[in-house]
Amino acid sequence: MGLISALVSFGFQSTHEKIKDLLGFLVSVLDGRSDVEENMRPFAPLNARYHLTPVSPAVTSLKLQVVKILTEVSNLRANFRLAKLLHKFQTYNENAGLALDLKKLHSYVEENKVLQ
Amino acid sequence: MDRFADSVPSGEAFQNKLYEDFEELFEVGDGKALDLTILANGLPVDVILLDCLCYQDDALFAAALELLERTYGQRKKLLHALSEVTLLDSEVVPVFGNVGEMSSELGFLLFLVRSSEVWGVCSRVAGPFQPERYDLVVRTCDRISEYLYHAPLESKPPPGLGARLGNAAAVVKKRLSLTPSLGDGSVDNPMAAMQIGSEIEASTDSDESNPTLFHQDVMRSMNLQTTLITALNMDYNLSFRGSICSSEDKVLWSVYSTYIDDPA
Repeated sequence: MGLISALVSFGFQSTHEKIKDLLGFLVSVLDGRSDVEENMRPFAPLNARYHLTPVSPAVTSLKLQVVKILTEVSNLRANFRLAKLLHKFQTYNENAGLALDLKKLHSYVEENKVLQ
Repeated sequence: MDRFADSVPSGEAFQNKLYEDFEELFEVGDGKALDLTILANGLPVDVILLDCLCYQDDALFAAALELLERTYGQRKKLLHALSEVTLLDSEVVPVFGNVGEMSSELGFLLFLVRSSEVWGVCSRVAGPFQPERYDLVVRTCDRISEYLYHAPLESKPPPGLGARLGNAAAVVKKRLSLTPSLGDGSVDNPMAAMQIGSEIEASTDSDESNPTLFHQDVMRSMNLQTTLITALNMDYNLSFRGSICSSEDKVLWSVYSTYIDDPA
């Protein structure tokens, strides 16, 4: 799990297909409905899986690793959106009409920020 | 306060376009495809994360809650990142020449400040003193100071807004010149009155005594504060650390540093 987390954070799992293949499996591991007791039987009652037992730290540790990998994917997504936003900004500036409107909006915001 | 859509003829259409383009990052195409639920082949990630909150494990609780907060705060995070952006009219900046050069110099200054224990000591590990590094730090700081007090480059405001911006600037200038820095309660104090008087005189005499607010914002965007905080944490007696230089070397280095600071 640590290796997968490192691979995601370093950008080795950056294509849509790779991430999708990875997350389908990882989220099923995270899903508490698939948790089993020591004898490989499902918990009964189901909320018994939340309790602290001698073996539960190993399970929660594994789930924690999965959540961290999902967080890495979220970072990747945020960076991607920021890059797209910057690209849009560049497109705005290459269009004379939009660039003028953008400057007007910027001036308007600055002016009202000053007056407040 | 009037709205931008009322002030500018094409304002409303432009605002709508901005809104649609922003939402497109989350709701359409690649933006939507990167949703965790879609990436997980339709498994309800949010519900599974809520389930994780119930386990008796503090670290798992914290991580799951953080991921939920990130998932539902994506727009806020992107807007916050945008609010930190400082727009420049062009790449040209005074003193440094262009933004790339400025960024490069500030980056190297941060590196030098962080590595002062390598070039500011004479030891078996770090080697001899490196006065050229010290010179570079001082020169870069001088350039930053010059930039902060430099008048901003002229740029033409959009038609129709120039006069209003001029009025706004006049209002601010008047407020700054009349605002006492010690508060209303100190007006009866004659010393305070003298200080306020001198402040007003100074503010009307010359603009060179105050740094340019816009340039301060640019420096803040370039993370100058981290460099300054790191520099303030430097050991002021750094040159006296180390093992292989003699006391004479250390004193000479101190004298050299003083000479660079004040050649006169």
